[in-house]
Amino acid sequence: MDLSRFLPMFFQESEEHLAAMEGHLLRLDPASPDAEALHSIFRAAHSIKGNSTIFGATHLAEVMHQIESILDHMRKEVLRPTSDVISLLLETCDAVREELRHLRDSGDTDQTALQPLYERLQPLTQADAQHKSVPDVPVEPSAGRSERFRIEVQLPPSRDMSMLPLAELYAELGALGRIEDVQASDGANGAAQLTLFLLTSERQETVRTKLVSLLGTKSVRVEHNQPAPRAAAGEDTVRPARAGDSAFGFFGEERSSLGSLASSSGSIMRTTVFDSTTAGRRAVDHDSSPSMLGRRATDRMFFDRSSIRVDVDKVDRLLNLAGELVIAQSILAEAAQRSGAANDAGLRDSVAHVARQTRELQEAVMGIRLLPLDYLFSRLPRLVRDLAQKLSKDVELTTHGGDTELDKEMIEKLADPLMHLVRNSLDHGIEPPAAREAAGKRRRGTVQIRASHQGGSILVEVQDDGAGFDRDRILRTAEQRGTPLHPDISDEQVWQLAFAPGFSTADTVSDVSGRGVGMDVVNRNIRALGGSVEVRSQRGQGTTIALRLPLTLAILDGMSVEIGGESFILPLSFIAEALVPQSGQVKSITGGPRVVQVRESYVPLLDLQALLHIQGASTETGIAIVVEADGRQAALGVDRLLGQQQVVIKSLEANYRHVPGIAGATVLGSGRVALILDVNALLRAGLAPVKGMEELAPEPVER
Amino acid sequence: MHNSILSSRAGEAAVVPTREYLAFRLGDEDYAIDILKVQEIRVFEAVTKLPGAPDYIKGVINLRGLIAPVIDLRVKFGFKEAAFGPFTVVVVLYVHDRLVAIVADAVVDVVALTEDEIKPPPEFATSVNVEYVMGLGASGDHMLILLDIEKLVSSQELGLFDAEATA
Repeated sequence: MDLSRFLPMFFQESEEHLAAMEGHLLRLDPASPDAEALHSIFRAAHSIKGNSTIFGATHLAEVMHQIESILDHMRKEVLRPTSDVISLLLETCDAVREELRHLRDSGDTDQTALQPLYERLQPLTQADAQHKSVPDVPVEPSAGRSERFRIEVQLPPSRDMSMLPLAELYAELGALGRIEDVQASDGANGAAQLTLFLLTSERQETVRTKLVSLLGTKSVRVEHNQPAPRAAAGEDTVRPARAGDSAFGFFGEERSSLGSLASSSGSIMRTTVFDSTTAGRRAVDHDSSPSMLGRRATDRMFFDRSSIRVDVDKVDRLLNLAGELVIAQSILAEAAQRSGAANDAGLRDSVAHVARQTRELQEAVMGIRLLPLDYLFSRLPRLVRDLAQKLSKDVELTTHGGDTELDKEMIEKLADPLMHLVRNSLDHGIEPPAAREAAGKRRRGTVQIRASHQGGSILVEVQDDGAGFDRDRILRTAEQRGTPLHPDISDEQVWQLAFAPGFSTADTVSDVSGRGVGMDVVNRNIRALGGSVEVRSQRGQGTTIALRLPLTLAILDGMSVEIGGESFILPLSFIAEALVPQSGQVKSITGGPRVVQVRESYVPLLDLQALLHIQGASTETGIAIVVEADGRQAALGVDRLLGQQQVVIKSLEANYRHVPGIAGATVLGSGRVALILDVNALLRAGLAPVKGMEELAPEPVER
Repeated sequence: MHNSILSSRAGEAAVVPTREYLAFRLGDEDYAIDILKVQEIRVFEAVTKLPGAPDYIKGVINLRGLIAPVIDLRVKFGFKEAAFGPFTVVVVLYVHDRLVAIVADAVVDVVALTEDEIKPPPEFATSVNVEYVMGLGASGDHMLILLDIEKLVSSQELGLFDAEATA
């Protein structure tokens, strides 16, 4: 079998497995490690080991084998997953990842990083040498009498290995008992044969039926009571790539000197016990080969997602096509209506059906480009843990709103700034435990990451309860730089000073505020994405840095409203309530500006006619929508509510320019363009500016 | 018919490089733009008005998922009448990596012109709009006003782009 075409899969899968391992390692509680988590780590390591073996990367297999052993000890509670152990395992993950990348890029092995780790892991694998309880002979999976079956699956010549539903096969058989070994061989005239050894308490017929129903082939042979599998001579086995076996030399001459795999291939058998004894029926020894060729349906946890890479342009094209289809569909529906076909129940149903399907299609396509921020947040625990350890600080990280979806490209570009902010919070924000205690704070500092939709933008906040910015020192530096300063400059303005281009250089701000190295860069990167950075900081209390990002392609829940004969979209997240003002509820102040009485309070009514230059926007007879942004409320008068809908934000700037008060545009089902109101900007324009922000008002947030 | 004149002329002087222009009508004047800049021609459909936009920007339309502004040059050039009838079209242009649609009373023809056939524009001191005229050509007995559409679309005066985008 030519395995080289599976190489890209090998690299990608291994990356995913490593990510899964890391995820679980980070959440492992040293006091009482979760058996399920250990199981998952083990499984991931095991998969990497198996895959590495297939592709001749025996040195990786060897390291993974060690990890397996260590986990096995943990499971048996002879080894505690102390912080040191976890660190070592995480380090190993890094090294393995590096090595995989090295292999992928150069095709050569580089064991300089792995070798020392191997030596450090070694003692842990022998931690329980004196009371070793792992039997060399597999433990019977159940109390009942189990038998070993030799299962042969004959494959017709046309079906190559990759067509086999191997993942399902393994899952099914794993549920029945324990798979001990798998061997594949090429039979005569292109036919292939797969030989499995299964230890189970089920009856022969049960096993056979399962296989036949799964593989849909009659050429399944299940034999009784075969001796334990040892690779038969002359068979091209899937798994055991022994050192010197030329068939697996994908990585050139570089052979592992870490040890021969012969020893570890024996131990694969032993380690499979892990599954069946801990998790009972869940015991699926998910061997190396199935994960290469298919995915186990039961393995659907967050980290284990499989994926394909698609050019973003293709997705965008698909999205536009789906949008066009929606429009074409609504035109069709209208035509059907007009032609009097509404009486034809069959046609009416079909039109409704097409409408539903089209919209679902559009939604699905829209979803492709979006990823939850968890994708990004999941990297942070590791960062925080490592840094806290390095800085001898006690830090707790919490994340909220990880399910907020953002365009993939944006997420990728947000990664560095976000990491940087978290790093800054730990490095300069959170004080050492002793200092915190002296200041009357908890020893353990907290860093909170919150993400949320804010109408036309996504808000990602990094908040710490550390020392905060130092106003006086920033002011001093600003003075030195010759920045003209207002005597009553507000804190917000001071923080903005720190973000001024060129201000946040290492020798100014980092000295001044203890921050700033690269803050300038963060600011620039976020601005390059069309967003903005805001700082709220209180000396001794902590700092919050808010990144406001536009959503190039995010889906927005909006309320479609009519103002002066035009449709506008009002982002739902800004809307507090909508009411129909009764006469007397709208009052003018000094003959000019008006307010709406909402229960006990008076909410300023924004003059949309003036703000948006809309002719005929009425408010007396219409509906007042109370919106909220930046902690302030205002009412917008609209003529009609047209309904709630999800819209795709389209850029006006792509072919035109920024329009004040407008966050973007969208295409309605009718094909018409509707503008999305920028509530933040409208409030800023319509209400008195926040005190102290007049001169230094930041650039408009939404673009 | 000017078509036959053109084709015979093209036959005689095949060596002279010709360029093709899309001729369209604004009021009673015929204009022409480089056809390579034209992406498509559409019937004029309802536009979505833009708040605070100058009067010659009619609004925006949806071009297969992209939002493009619609410019009414008749208003921009100060024509007395700028009506929308059944023959009113929008010519979608692709210039400076952007889609811009311009309103035309009708599309006249595609004409091929050699460089000698294009006369330099008259130099008026007063009219700003003449700045965007590349030259004058002839199509039969009609005078064609060749527009430098790139220059016009990206001009500060038209204000289609954000200030920072027009370098």
